[in-house]
Amino acid sequence: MAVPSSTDALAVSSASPPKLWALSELGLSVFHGHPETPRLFHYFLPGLVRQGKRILCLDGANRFDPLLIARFARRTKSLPFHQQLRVARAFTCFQLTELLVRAPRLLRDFPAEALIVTALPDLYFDEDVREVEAAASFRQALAALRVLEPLRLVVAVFSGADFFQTERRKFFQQLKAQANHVWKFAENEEGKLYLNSEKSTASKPRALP
Amino acid sequence: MRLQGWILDLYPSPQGMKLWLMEVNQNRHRLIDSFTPAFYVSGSPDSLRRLHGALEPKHSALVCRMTERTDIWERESREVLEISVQHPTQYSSWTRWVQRFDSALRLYNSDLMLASLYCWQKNVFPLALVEVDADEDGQVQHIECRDSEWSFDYELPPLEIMHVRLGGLPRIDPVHGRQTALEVEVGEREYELDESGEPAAVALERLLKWHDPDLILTDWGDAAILPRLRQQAAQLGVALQFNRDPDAQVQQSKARSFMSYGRILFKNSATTLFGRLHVDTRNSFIANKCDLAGLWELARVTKLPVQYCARTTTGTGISYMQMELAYRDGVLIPSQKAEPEDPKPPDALLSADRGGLVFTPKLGFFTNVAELDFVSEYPSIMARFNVSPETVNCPCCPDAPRVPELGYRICQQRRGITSRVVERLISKRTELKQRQPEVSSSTAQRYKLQRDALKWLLVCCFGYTGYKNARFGKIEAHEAINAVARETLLVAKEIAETRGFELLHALVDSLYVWKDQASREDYEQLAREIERQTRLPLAIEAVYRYIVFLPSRQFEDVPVPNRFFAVSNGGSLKVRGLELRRHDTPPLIARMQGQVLDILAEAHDYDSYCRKVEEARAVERKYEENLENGAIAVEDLIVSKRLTRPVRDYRKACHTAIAAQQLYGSGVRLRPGQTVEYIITDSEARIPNDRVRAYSRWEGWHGYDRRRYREMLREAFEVFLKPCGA
Repeated sequence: MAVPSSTDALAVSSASPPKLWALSELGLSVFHGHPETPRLFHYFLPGLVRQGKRILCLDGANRFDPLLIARFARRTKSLPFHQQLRVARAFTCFQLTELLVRAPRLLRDFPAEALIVTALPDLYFDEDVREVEAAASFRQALAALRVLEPLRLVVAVFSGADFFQTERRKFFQQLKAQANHVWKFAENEEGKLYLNSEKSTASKPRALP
Repeated sequence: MRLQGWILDLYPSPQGMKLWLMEVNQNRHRLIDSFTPAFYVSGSPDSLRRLHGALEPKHSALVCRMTERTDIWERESREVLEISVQHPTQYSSWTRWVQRFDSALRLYNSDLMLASLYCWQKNVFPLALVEVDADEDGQVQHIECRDSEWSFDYELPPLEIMHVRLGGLPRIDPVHGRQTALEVEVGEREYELDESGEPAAVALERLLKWHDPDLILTDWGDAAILPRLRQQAAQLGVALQFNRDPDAQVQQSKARSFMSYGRILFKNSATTLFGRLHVDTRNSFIANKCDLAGLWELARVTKLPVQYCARTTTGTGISYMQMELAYRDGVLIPSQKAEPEDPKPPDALLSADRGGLVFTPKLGFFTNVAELDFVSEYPSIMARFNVSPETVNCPCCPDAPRVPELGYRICQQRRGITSRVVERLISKRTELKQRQPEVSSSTAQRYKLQRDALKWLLVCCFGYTGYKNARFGKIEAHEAINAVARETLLVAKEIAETRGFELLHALVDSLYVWKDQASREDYEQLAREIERQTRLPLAIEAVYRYIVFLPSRQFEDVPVPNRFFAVSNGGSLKVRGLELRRHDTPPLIARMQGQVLDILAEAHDYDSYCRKVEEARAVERKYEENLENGAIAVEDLIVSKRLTRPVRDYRKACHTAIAAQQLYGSGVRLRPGQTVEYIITDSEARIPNDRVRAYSRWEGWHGYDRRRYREMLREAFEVFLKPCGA
């Protein structure tokens, strides 16, 4: 498995075509397929920051790593991660839904061009939350994402849902159905990651180092 | 009829709240009080109108009206639909009905424990002394509390207590295969129900009828004794009446594993009775730590029914106290925690997401060291500085003073709910401590247990601010409290150093300071100065005759926090981080360390310490001899380990996995968080299964691994040699 280590992504970014580890599609993109997917969003951040984009990260997986961001910042020296990045963590599905519902207001306070969401819908698989409540909360989350559609915003959801054994996996199908683009991480023979487009106007596989 | 007595038990029934009242002459009454619990629904005016319309035909079951309640985060009144349920047992199903009707609606006060809600409405609480007017059918006309949950000395009902336990080693879970006779004790009478005559279920049914206990106090009753007896009774067709209420069914909840602070824990199933109390001391943290006096105190102040209070976490207790205040303030109680973290830049997250401050100790032997402890520091911060989830970064105080490091603001206009709860608890605990020297020894002992119970509530109230399921939790409050605590410790350190004291070690809320020739008065002056500047109470925990800070187990020169032993000037010991304190240490090792420490406690300085170590070496040798001679009870060799994953998920043949497999193979179903006990039989055996034996599967011919236990004794003794340079 060749999940990037802390600074590999930057090395790749500088040595490889700039579209790698880049988020560019407007609308809702869903990334999945690798156990580490909820962590992989970090490696898209340098590209976004380099483009001068502001990013709001709603971290339901509690995987945001400020130390990794600090290393990115040290390696790139001039990239203003701290100015262009805001993070809010959610520890329950209800909190993640609330963050998504509040997203328009949060985007007014911090006008980001990219919104990253992790652990959607993984957080709604929590068995301590009753099915009916999880389903209701998830429906609200999807509705909140639809509210964002008119905004010219890159919305990227990083989900580890493939790796849960639960009947609530149907939530993930609903999310993918709503998405404009669905990307699946896969590994090539050398164990390197690449992205396969599962749903997109452009379905050409995108190579990742 | 007019009755005066204590509320023994209370639970909802279709007709209202069922109360079991116990008079001073031990007469028990089953009463019914009318009770219509209400929940609230918030949403757009249209959706509320639609809901109201849909509920109108159900007027025999529900009463609906528009009203106003306060949102704790927005601090504004909000129009909500109040739905009162006529039959309390239908409360949950109606909340679910509303949720299904329109999932966009927000429900409040919708998943509360009804017994507590009743207590809030009627101003009573479990075990409260009350006066009741009731009719001949037991219908309550009026109920008046003659008690206060905040009183220090209160009368308790004259409970008839039946102790039920299994013979043999009490710490071993009977589900792991312990099959011994049932021992029953009521007052002076003792019975052994060993199945040799009549089945235990038959005998116990007779005893229940004869003694009619108010409280059944068991060891392993929840998951083992009561379920087994009920199963036996069912097979024999015997009506075993654990409940006093003939209309209710004994309630058996499911066991579960869960994560807490990165550790996997196991909560056993619970067997709850109606009209009679059942407390399993092996499944009740508070009864285990603070005895029944602590449990009564907790049930009274939290207003949770006794059996629930015994089994739930103290965090739930705090949560219910917060919710009671919210209820009285007209604040909506959310059904789930939904208040998320405010967005922050990465560097702010890095600064905020930190715990308490630690200064690692200077290694070695020190004399005349004082330990200064901030008293209930985190709760005190919450009370003193009004840190509560809704007071952090409130919308009303943009110019409020800032929390150090983080810059968060704290509300200056309103007291926070958590701060008010904590304030009451601190105040009661302090008062109990102050009264303690003036009362009889039995009362003093009861006060201590009450204080300990309150301490457990206080301990968790900080963690609860960051707990993911705390309804009034907010991570920023958790971060603010930590930041204030770190700043406080830094200030204390600077004051100590300015006054010529040396800081040897500091751990979150305690400091170990030393100054050559310092007297107790010097230390007290220092404590008063720190108290004055930090505005938080500080006490001298002890002045130690000597203290030994020990290094890490792996690296001789690396200090680690909280690994030391110390002897106070009064001769009492304080030990942290040694085998003696660990739950998995075999009793043999712990006892040896205890005896060695008793000898070392007689030392006064470094030289006498080194002499005492030599004296203590004989104790360790004696243990080794007994081990060689087989003069050790096998129970003293038990290692207890917690399962960190399902048995099938262990990949390596570690001792815990081997013992768990043996139990699993003999039909014992184990879950993560449960404890397995084993004897090391041959730690280097080629066949993993021969290395250890689950204790309940151990037989004499398995023997034990003398060499490994001897090594463990030696390792446990070696820590005492370190100060002498060994």
